[in-house]
Amino acid sequence: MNWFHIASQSLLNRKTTALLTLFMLAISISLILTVDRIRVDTKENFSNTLSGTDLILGARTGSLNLLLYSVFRIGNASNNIGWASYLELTENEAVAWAVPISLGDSHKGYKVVGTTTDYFKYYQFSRGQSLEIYQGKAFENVFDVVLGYQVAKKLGYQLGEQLVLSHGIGNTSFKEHDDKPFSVVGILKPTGTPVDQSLHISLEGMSAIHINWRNGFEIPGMNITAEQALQMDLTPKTITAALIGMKSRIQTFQFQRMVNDYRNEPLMAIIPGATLAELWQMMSIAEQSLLAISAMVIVTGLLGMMTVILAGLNERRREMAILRALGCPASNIVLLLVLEAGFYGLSGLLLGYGLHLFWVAIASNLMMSLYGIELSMNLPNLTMLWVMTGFLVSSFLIGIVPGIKAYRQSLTDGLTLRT
Amino acid sequence: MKHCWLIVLGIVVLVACSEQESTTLQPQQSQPSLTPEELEIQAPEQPDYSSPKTTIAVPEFREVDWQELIPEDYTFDFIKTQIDLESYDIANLQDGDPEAQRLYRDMQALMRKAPVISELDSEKIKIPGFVVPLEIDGNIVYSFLLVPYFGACIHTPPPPANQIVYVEVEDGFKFLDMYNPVWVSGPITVESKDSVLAYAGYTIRAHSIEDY
Repeated sequence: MNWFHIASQSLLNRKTTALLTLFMLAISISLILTVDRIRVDTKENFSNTLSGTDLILGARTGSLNLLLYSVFRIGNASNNIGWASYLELTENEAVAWAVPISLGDSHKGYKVVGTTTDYFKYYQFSRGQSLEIYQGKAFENVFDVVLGYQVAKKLGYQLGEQLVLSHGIGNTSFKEHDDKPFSVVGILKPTGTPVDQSLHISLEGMSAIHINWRNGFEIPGMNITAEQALQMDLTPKTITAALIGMKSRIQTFQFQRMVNDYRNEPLMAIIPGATLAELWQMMSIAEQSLLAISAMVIVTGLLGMMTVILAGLNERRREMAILRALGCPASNIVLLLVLEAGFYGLSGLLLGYGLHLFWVAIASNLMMSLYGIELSMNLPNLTMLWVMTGFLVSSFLIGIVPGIKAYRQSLTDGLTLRT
Repeated sequence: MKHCWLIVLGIVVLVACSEQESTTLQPQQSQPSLTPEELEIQAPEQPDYSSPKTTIAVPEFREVDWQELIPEDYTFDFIKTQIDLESYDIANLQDGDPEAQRLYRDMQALMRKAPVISELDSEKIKIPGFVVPLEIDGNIVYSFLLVPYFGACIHTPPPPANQIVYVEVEDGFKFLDMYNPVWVSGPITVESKDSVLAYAGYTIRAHSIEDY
């Protein structure tokens, strides 16, 4: 007897219910896989964004806030810091290098970063990798701009093209610096960090485009052309933050304390690694809750499958009776239902995995444009593989319950059903 | 008949268990009788009392107290010779007073240059402390600063340079939270002031990190 053929025919007979059960299981599996993928990739992305920087200097705000806006370009700076304070603090003999950062402008939704060429030398990511030029070179002149990889790719910019920066960091702006266009002189290699979504100009370029701005708006009638601006003093007056590297890491705390106690201006210095660890600690409750909910959804899905099979057993009593009459031993009835449940489990798993890849593809565009986080399409990690195995085994075992019910029913029923 | 497969399963399990017991009994039964000489060879070894050996295991890493990292001569009297404490009216100084700031800056300058004990160099030590992560990847920490008390990175005065250890963990360790201290075991290297860095400091390349 080709039991497999009989079992598959039986399933095809109930294909609507079967498909719905399959989807229920697939959605529950795809949920936990996607949640875990987003969770793990976000953590990795955030951790890989900055490396080798001992301190970040900025206005006195929350430590997490400073980390997010200076490095991840999420959120807004509460205040800028004075150039004089920056110079005084970084002239300290314990400081090995310092890279100033000036934020506040954008271009078609991508953030503009005013900095020095030291940025390309000292900014590291992913445990020690440096920024590399893909095409062209770093900025030299006041109106040069270096694009991050994604900016160049999404907006289709080539070397030598001119672009106009906008004031503010919204997706569009009603105040453009159109009298002072910038030309693209370099494009960076992709890094998988917010650097890819940024445009980099010199601090002098940042000063030049705001030269006729006071208190946040353009002075009407005070038209200074790009050529005129080049003749003026373009030393920055304020910057937003600075990345600092110490000669000896042991001196980190002392320097941090000095910055925190600085009297001339409200400043603070954070240790990026420690601040990230604080962030993960805060997020761990949310993470555990999300995972617990996803696990509950899977349990719900499995119980739902068991319910569907159990509920359908009544209609299949005649089918079971016929099978018994054909010589199928009573114990095989149990096996039949265990295999059916297992089949739901296996195909639910495969379909769920495919659905998960679909969700990730959709989410990854969103995550990249909103947060600069890159979602990977890797195979599931070890924990998730255990979850999937457990799910598969449980689906087989769950089949025992309807199996036993059908077994007992088939013993009491003959070919003529007593209803 | 209906439940015979269950009974069969039970019998199989019982047989399997009993078979195991019988196999453990077998070696004794199959031993042939031995001559006295052969039996002597099988007698347990007599302990050798001629050369006394220590039976206490010497731990590979020596547990170290934070106090041990400070040279003995670095006492308050020494500090008094470095800062002109007479110039301050310490009893009446308030927290926000610029004079208090000046004293604090003097103290900090001293603490930055706190001396280290070069004799500790290359010793394998085990020291407990709190972790301030530097290089972090998700929950895995690759390098951190080890400090004697929690809060050293937030708002309390930071410890002097000889009470901070820079630790590197090659394959990283799973970091749970900053409130829990850990034991760091590994060889300690001491950078004295004469080095290129010009800053003294203790470094450990950790062999293992354990929860406290």
